[in-house]
Amino acid sequence: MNRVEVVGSIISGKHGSILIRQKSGAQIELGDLLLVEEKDGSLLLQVNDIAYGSQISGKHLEMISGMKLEGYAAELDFMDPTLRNYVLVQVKAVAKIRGNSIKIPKTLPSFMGGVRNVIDKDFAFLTKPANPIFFGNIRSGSKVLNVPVHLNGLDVFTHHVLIPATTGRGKSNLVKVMLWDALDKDFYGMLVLDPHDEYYGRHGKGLKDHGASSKKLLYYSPRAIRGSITLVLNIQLIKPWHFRGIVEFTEAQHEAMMVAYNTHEEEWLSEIARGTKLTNVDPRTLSVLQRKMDALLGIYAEDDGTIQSRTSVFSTSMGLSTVKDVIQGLENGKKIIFDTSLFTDEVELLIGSTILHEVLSRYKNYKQEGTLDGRPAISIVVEEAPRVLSTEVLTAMGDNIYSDIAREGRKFKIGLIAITQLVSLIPKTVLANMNTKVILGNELASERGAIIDSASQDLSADDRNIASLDKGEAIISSNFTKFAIPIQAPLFEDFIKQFEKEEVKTKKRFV
Amino acid sequence: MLPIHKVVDNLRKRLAHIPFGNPTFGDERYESIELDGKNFHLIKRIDSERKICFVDGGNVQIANAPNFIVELTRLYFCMSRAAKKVMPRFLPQRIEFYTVCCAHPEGDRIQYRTEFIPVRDEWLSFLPDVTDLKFDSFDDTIMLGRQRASIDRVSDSARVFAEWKLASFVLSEELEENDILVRDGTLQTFVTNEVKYANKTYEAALKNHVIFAGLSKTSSLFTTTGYPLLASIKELAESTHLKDKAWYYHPIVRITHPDHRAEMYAAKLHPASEYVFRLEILREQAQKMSSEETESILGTIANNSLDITFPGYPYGLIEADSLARIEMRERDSQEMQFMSASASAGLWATLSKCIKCADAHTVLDKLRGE
Amino acid sequence: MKMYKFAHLSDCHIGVWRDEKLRELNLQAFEKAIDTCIKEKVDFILICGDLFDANIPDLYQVKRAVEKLRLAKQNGINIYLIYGSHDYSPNTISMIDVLESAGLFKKVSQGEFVGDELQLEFTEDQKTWAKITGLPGRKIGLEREYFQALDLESLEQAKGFKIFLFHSPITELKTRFVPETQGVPISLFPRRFNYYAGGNIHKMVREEFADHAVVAYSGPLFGTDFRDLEDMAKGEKRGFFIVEFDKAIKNARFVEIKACDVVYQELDGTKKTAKQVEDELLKLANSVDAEEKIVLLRVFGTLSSGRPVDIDFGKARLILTERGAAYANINRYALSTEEKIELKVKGESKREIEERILVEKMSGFKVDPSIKDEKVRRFLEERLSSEKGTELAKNLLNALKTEQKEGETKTDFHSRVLRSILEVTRLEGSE
Repeated sequence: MNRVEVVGSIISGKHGSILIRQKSGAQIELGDLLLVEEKDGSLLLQVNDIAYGSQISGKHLEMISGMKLEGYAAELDFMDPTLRNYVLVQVKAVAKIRGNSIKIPKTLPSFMGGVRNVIDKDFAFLTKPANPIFFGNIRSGSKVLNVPVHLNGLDVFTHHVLIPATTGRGKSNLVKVMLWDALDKDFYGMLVLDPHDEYYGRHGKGLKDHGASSKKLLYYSPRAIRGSITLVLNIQLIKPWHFRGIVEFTEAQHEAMMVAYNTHEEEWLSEIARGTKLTNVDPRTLSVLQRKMDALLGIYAEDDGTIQSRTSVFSTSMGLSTVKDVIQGLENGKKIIFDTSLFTDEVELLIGSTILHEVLSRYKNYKQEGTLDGRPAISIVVEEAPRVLSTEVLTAMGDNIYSDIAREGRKFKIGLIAITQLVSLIPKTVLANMNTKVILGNELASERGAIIDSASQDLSADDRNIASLDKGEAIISSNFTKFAIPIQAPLFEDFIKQFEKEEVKTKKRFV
Repeated sequence: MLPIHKVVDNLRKRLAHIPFGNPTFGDERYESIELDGKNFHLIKRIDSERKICFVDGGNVQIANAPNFIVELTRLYFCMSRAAKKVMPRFLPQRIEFYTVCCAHPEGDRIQYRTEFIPVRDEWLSFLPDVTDLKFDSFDDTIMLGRQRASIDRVSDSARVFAEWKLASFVLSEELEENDILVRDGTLQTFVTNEVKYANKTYEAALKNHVIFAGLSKTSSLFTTTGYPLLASIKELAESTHLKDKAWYYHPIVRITHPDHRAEMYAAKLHPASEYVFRLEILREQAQKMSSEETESILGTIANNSLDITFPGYPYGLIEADSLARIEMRERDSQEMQFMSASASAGLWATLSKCIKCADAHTVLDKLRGE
Repeated sequence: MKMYKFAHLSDCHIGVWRDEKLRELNLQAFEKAIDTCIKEKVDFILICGDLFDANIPDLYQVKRAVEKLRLAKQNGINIYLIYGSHDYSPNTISMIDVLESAGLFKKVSQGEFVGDELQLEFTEDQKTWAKITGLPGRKIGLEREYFQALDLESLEQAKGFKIFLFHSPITELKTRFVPETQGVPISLFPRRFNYYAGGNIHKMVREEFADHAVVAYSGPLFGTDFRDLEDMAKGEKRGFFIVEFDKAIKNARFVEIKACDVVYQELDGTKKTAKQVEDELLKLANSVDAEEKIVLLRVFGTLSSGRPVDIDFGKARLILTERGAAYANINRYALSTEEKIELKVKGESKREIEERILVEKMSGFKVDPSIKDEKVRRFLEERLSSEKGTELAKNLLNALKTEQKEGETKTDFHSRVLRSILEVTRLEGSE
């Protein structure tokens, strides 16, 4: 190994926790990827802790520093400072690389072996998979390599993705970059419930600026912007079971809703709003339902029986084709954003539930018919996932369509992309089904613990790593990667610059 | 009063502050000179172009029985110039070897004989002549009291002789005129044949005009009042304006002993240092030096004594000690290797019987969990 | 302030029906509408696409229509229109072009592409100073590209009373049966026009949006298929809008045109024998109020025994005709039997059934692996997979259904059909 490149030397430790002494002047960072070249390939190491090392005892060092701080012995200093005081770097071996193949490492690197920083060509084994989705570039500490990381989108999205991150760690940017890359890919459709209206690009750059957006992107919003479709759902499209697990109803109320549906079919909500009597249903139950639907959906009946809507999102005259359009769009590989920023949680999730019930039902049919293979996969992005996946919610209200998808969606090529700050609230049984985790920075120790416990690789030594992830830095832990890959998601605005084209203006008559 | 307090009280009565007195050596070949405040000289640090070299050695027992001993010895030297490290050009910086001493009957006497197995064959030439390390077990230079000397005194001597020999090589091969070599310890020799090696080293120093010095971490010299000599000198310094200064004290004694060719100094090498060390310079060199030259040498050594971990002690000796030292872990590893090799050779059964004569203490230690 | 009036018609689809009687009824509905416009003394008429059902319609139908339109013109009523998806052809001259050049009406979808931006021009009505512009319809929703390219700012900034004509389903107002790929969201329409006159959706709709005050579809005057007629039987009104305005819309009322009453009845044949169904059908035919009405009967379900062909539908139709029905149709496409497995179809009308079958067949489409040429493979994938494939198949089927016209030579007919096929498949001019 070229001595100039060496940044440290292996001095002790054990498998899973190898100690390296950092060369003086080198700046090894937490999360850095290092390489040891062996005879039969090379060993990729990742830094998970850094500590001071010294030939001088701790007490002695405390004394010395006290002397310096208090102004004693001003001209005294350490002789051979770099030999006697140094940095110890704790690493774990993450991969054994042999040519283009990569394996889980099972041996220790050579004692006193020199380690160096990774360079781009060390990652020649990272080939672009089929159905590639771009997540970011390989990151070594805070340094970003020119090595893009793609995962097989079909595998990843149908086996669910969890994106745990606290506020301000760059999760929106990461999702935006991912969506941009995925936008013109037909092998899957995606529905994004966007409670902060941050993906389309209402103000500033967004997915609307993608060259394929006119064909592959649909943006539904209650607040019109050029190119958007008004987010409106005709109440005929809402069925009683769409409320399951989303809105709390008593058993009696559920039963009443079913009776209304069986009696009036698509007009059931209108009849509830009118207060129409139902056989074997207590009028008091109906009355409560009437009020609840008014409060939730904004629908009510005038004196003459005409159904009106207080909100723009639930309508009696518009939005008849919304569910069908969305489903057809998804089946055509389109990416669909719902701007739910003006809605309550219940409304947002109800709208999603209405669509997803139909999607799941369709895809179950396709599977029965044997035509599922030819269909694109469908993925749903849900923010603040504990609203539908937490233990508390599932215990109190039972399963909902989102948890159904989390548990069994994989069988039908439907996946969740769940974004959350609080992983610990989601039951382990659900987390276990989320086979890819894109871990962003998290300062809460309990949350990091929950993330580490459910990761696809052993991240038990990466607690500090995760705590120190800066904005945009992430670790991808997935069943579909051989090791937990540290990445840096590019800043969206910078990322899309490479796709911008110059406009050439010509004139042509239109008749 | 608790027993321990009684102990303290006993000392307080018996070690009452005693006047300084004068150096006393108990040997007429040491003519002591009255302590006088005028004999202090300030040390000014000098960032000189001289090379300064330090030599030290360390050894550990790997197997010890009354009739044999195996030790691993490590010698190390380091050089610097104007606070920058200087790498050796010709000599290996570190030499390691095994010393195997065995007891041999000679008539009705028991002799201890030594052989060396260097870690690298080419290092054999740096090691002492084994014939110089043949001792009668009742050689009084290695005895303790009236008992037969224990065999480890021979192996320790092997290290000392090797240090002398290495120093002579360094003086000849790596150092130039006006450079300085400091060994750990005095220039005094104690053991039969040791003076031979010391003299060879002195020859080399004189031939190459390299200043040869020794610095002791410890001293058992006394004054006439029973007070430690170096403590007396220190107190004397503190009673004058020298409390926060670096200084050396000279002259202390005139030495005519043939086995001790040294001029003795007491030195406090840094104003913040708590320690006064016994420093010796080869007599033939010291007596020819002007006071400026003496100050230059001491100033150069003082300039190497600025390490904050041990102000006033030459850093080179810290380094040499650190790199010559053999840690317990390594010792244990060596011990295991020896046992394993012995067992493979079918010798362990025999050796262990001998070792058990001496290691009951170790067993007791292990019972205590040490 | 002087009040003005205009009429908003669309989807007349003159010539659409095969059956002569229905064709005539359709034409009569149109004539009634124009007569009403003349009677109401409207200042101008807007026709928002599909005046005819084909770009080269039957000339007899054209003659009748022209006579009425000329009458309107002679009464000082200007006529403005846009193409629909049926009466337009990108490759050949359409009848609309011929009639426009004869000065019968004016196409208002005029403009210029500057780079990628479409700048529309206004046509100013000289009587009322109303500014009129719009975008035509295209097949399979291709007009969405025009909307996306539209320079909205210049349209929005223009002053005066403005009307926008269009022939597209607005996404927010679509029915369930319009595919996702068709439809234009309201956000792509220029804002703050006084009136948005729509065509393409076959029902009367009037809606308001936050920035688009009055959005209206007039619906067809009669109906273009049996589903339209069924809707009429269920209460769907047919007609057009008459809008009064000065600086703003003062009133927009729907004027109903009743060409003929429609009666619709269903008969469920589930778990019945063919004989039982026939008996019930004949009973129904004898009891329904058929006099001068269009009678539509729908027979559906799965017979327990016998086959649909065992039922004498012709007799039932005869009974209805004898009883004075203006037209009788018995829809039996949803009738099957346990005795024989037929294709599962969920649709009711022939068109829906065709669509469902095509969807089912095209969904599993894969390019033959023996085709190795990548360019060819890509070309086929783009054109034939999933919904695009279904649409193409549907349009191809429609193109092939066209009949030879009176006086048209075989060669000309052949060329016309071929041109239609090329247009549908967009093969002409492609690599």
